[in-house]
This record gives sequence, C-alpha cells and structure tokens, in this order.
Amino acid sequence: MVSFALKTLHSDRGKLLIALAGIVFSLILVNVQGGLYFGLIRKASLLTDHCGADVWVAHRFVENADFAHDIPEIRLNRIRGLPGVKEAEPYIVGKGMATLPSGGYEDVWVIGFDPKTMLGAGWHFAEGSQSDLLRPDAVSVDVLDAHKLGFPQTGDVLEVNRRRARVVAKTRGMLGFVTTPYLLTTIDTARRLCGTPDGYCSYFLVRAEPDTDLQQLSAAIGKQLPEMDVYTSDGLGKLSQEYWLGRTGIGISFGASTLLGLFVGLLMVAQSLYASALDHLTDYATLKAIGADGRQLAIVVVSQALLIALVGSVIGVALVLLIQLYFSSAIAPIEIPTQLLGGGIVLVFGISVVATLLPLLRIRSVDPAIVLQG
Amino acid sequence: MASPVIQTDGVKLSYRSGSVVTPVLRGIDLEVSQGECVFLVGPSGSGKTTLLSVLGCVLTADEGRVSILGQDLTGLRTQELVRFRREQIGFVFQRFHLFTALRAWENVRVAFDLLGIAGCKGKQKSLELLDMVGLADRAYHRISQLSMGQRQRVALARALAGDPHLILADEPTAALDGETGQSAMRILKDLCGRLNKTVVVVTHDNRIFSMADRTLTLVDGRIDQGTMSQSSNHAGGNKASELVGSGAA
Repeated sequence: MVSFALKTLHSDRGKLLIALAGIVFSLILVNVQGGLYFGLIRKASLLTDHCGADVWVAHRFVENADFAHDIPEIRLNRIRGLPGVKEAEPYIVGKGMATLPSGGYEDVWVIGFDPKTMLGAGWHFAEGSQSDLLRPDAVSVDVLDAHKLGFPQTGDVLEVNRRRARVVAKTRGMLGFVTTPYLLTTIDTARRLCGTPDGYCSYFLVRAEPDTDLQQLSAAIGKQLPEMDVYTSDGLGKLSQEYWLGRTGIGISFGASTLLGLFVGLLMVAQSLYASALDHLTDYATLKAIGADGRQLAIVVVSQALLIALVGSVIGVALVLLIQLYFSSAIAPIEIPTQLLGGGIVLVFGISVVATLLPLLRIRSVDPAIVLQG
Repeated sequence: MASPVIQTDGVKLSYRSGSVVTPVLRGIDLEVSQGECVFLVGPSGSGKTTLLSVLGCVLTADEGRVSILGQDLTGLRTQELVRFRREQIGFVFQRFHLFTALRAWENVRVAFDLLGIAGCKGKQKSLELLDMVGLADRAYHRISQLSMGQRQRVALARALAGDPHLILADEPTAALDGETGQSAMRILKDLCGRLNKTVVVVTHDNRIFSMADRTLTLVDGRIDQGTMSQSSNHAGGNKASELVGSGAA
C-alpha cells in the first residue's frame, strides 16, 4: 500500500509541490523565527557569555546583567582566598551619555575590566587589541555600532558624560539586547567616565580553578557575602534573558508568528492531500471495493503525508542552513540549536499527520458501490 | 450436486433519498453452483448491478438472506464483510478502474498487498497472473500504454489475485469493441473454468450471451422465473436479448 501511496502522490506533482512548499515554509519559519528569537535573546546574556568569568557576584536583587548597582570592592577580599577561586576581580557595567560629533547624544554602556588579569576583556577585536585599552582614557567601540556614534575612527576622541575618551580599538560583535552601544575599557577609565565612586564596582568576576563545581563555589561565595547575590555565569545569563522575556513579551510575539507559520503549513498540506484525495476518489472506491479496510486506506494517506514531511524536511533543513549561513549576522543573529531543528522536523511530521484527518474523513465516506455503477 | 456458492432467499433492497424510497430488488431467490458462469441480464434499472453489489458484499440487503460460500452475510459487521470481500471475491469493473499511476503488474500487486502478500512474493504472483491472462510482455507497461482489451485483462488478473472463489464482473465488455469484448470474455470464461471459479457477469452484450452456463433475466427487481432453470441457454439468452434490446441503455 505504501508503494501505491507514493506512486499516486508522485503522479500528482502539482499538489505534491504545493504540499512540499507548505512543509518547507513551515520549517523555515519555525527555524528562522526560532533562530532569530534565540539569537536575540542570547544577546541579553552577551556579557555573561563572553567575559570569561565562571561566577558573578552582584548587588542584591539584580535582575539583569546590564542593569548593575554599585557594590563595595573591599568585599572582594572575602572571596579571593576561597578554595576553587583562581582569580576574582572587580568589573564595571556603567551607563553613560556620549556626545556625538553632530552635536547629538547617544546612550552607551561602559564596560570596565581589571587591567591586571584582563578578566572580562575577552572580546573579538576588529581593530587594535585588549592591550591598547590599557592606555589612559582608551576605549573601544564596536564596528557594528559605530554608526550610532558617528563612525568614530581609531584615534578619535569621544566625550562620555562630558569626560574625555579616545577610541583606540574596535570590537566586533559586542552588541547587546537593547540598541545601546558598548564601550570597552579598563575599570579605572570606566570608573572615571561613569562617575562610579572609588572603592565601588558593579560586579565581582570570579574565575574558578579547573574542575571546580561552580554551584558549590557559588554557594561558598554566597556564605561569605550573604548581603550579595551570587550567580554562575549561566545563571545570570538566564536571569537576564528572562528579564527581557518577561518585560517585552518577545516570546509571545515570536511564538505567535511561528505558530501561524505552522498553521499555514498545516493548511497547505491538508489542502493538497484533500485535493489529491478528491482527484482519486474513484481509486479509493476501487480499493474499498476490492477489499481495502479503513486501516489500509489510512496507511495510503498517512504514507503520503509522511513522504511529504520527509522530503519537505530535507529541503527545508537545507534552506534553513543556507539562510543561517548567508543571513545570520551579529546585528540579527540566527541561532538554531539542534533541539530547535529537531523539534521543527518533529512538528512538521506532526502537522503532516494531522493534515490527513480531513482527506481520511472524505475517503471514509466514499461508497465503493460507485465503481459498480458504470 | 455441489453445495451452492451463492444462495439468496427473498433479498430485497431499496434506495432512499430523503423520504423517497425506490425499491430496486423486490425478492431475489437465487442459487449458483461452484464453477458455474451465470449471466445477469435485463433492462437498465432492473437491479442487475445492485444485485451484483449485494453478492459482492458492497451493499447490504434490507431483507432476506444472502449466503456466499456457505457464509451467511446477514448480520456480519462492516469490517467482516470487507475482509470476506477481500479474501473470497474478485471484481472486474465495467471501466476497469485500474490505477493509472501504477504499472500493469503493480495494479495486480495492490490486490496482493491488501491480502498481506507484499514484497517479492506479491510481485512474483502478480507477474504469474499477468502471464496467465497473456500479458507477460506488458507487465511493466503503464496503464496508459495498454489497449482497452489489455486493460481488461489486467483487471481480470487483479480480480484473480488471492485465488478468490467468486468472480463478479460488471459489464466487462461494455468499454470494448465487439471482437475485443468477446476475446476478453472468452479469456475470463476459460480461465475461470480452468480454475473452477464461480462467475457472475452482469451484461447487456448479447454477443457474449452464448458463453454463459446460465442466463438469468432481471425485470423490475425480480428474476424472471422463465430463465431460472435454463443452462447453456440459448432460449434464455434470446429472451434476455429481447429485453436488453428493448430497454437497455
């Protein structure tokens, strides 16, 4: 029956193509929308994902890595001697207002790392390097955010909170969830530009010894600093993502459009299978007349649906990967985890099977006697 | 005498459309023996195809008893009727109703598939049946590449798949020209005779009446009693010819 199903479907190339288009469309929409969503939400954890720390110590009730509050740096000494702590350094995430050459203004995040260990400075540089940032007043801008700051060149002077800074390097891909550009610098320059009081910083970054259990280390640090919040890097990243998810409803927006895509795909497959069933009603009546039962007829239609899903998935996955290859960028990253790709394929197989319900109902109602009536 | 393959007692059936009830079969009493080739003739609307559908378990009688191969069909559930039809009855349709997307041998294999005989075994048996109907050299042709007569032989091969005891043919020569029709009918008759199949043929084609062992004439949903007991029946055939000639479409 499977052979009958596949050959019958193959003979209906027009409908086959429409159904395939539905599956491919669904798969692309699920993966690209999902990929954009993951890429965008991943930006919310940009700092925690890239700075190279294992554990973050923050002000109580921090909600988002970008929105830091000052903590006293002196507390750092309490954790430097803990077992499993390789290094612990202060880190600043501060707000600033850059004055543009045009006379306009642009909000900026000023990120300050410790110059001795360079913990938190592990970004990809398009021009210059981390060591260039050790010079007084030195900052880097990101090449992809440069237009927001009037395309400053290396050597140009920027004014941040009416204080002088010089662009000495350019990062690539230091783009956050919000549109505010990041300036990377040392902690001293960051403190000066943001007006952070001496002896204060935004976070303590901790790098652990190899093979250290980070949860246990976090708990140990938490005991030493009960007035502060302690997170693993992943934990604070997740908290930051959840902050934006909760505040913006972005998940609902992406989810709704993805569901819509699935629904359209479902309709296209169902319509194609239904039209094919209508075209072949006499064939189905013949099958019934010569003894096909409901299960055997279902095998025919479900086999067709599964073939559509299989071929559509292969084409769809190939197109998804091509789209990711050519269209994913630091500004609009398309991150497609294997689970998303696999889940998308499972979904299209699911909708293909659901799409057989209508044609199956129609076929079920066909009277085999029609083939005995001339 | 061998026990009858087909036995019906007082079979009645009406078609309903809303409140309109149209009686089609008004009490059919019939017996057909093993290996017999019986023709059902009569004017259009006399109930021939409806009777064939009842004998083929496609329609269920409103009243009366239908027994095929000793199995009383009365009271069988739909699923049981479908299985009985699949295993015991082969159909040859007026318009062949072959699957145009498939090759000749694949059309036959569909019937084997339904019986659970799949793969190489199903293919082998399909090719053997096509060989039996003289189409070994056309087995891999598409249906569209076959003549009408060849298509009818493919349909016959499909009907014989699974070795059913009863073959029901609905106007098997209607879509064929005179010579091809007679040739196709001769193949059906000879093959079923050799295989000891019981055959019931609904036909208007008086050129093939002579091939029947017995010809029964239906008039207004009843079998004309004058034709009931005739075998090798030129008289019955002639009477049927008159009826067909006067009323057939």
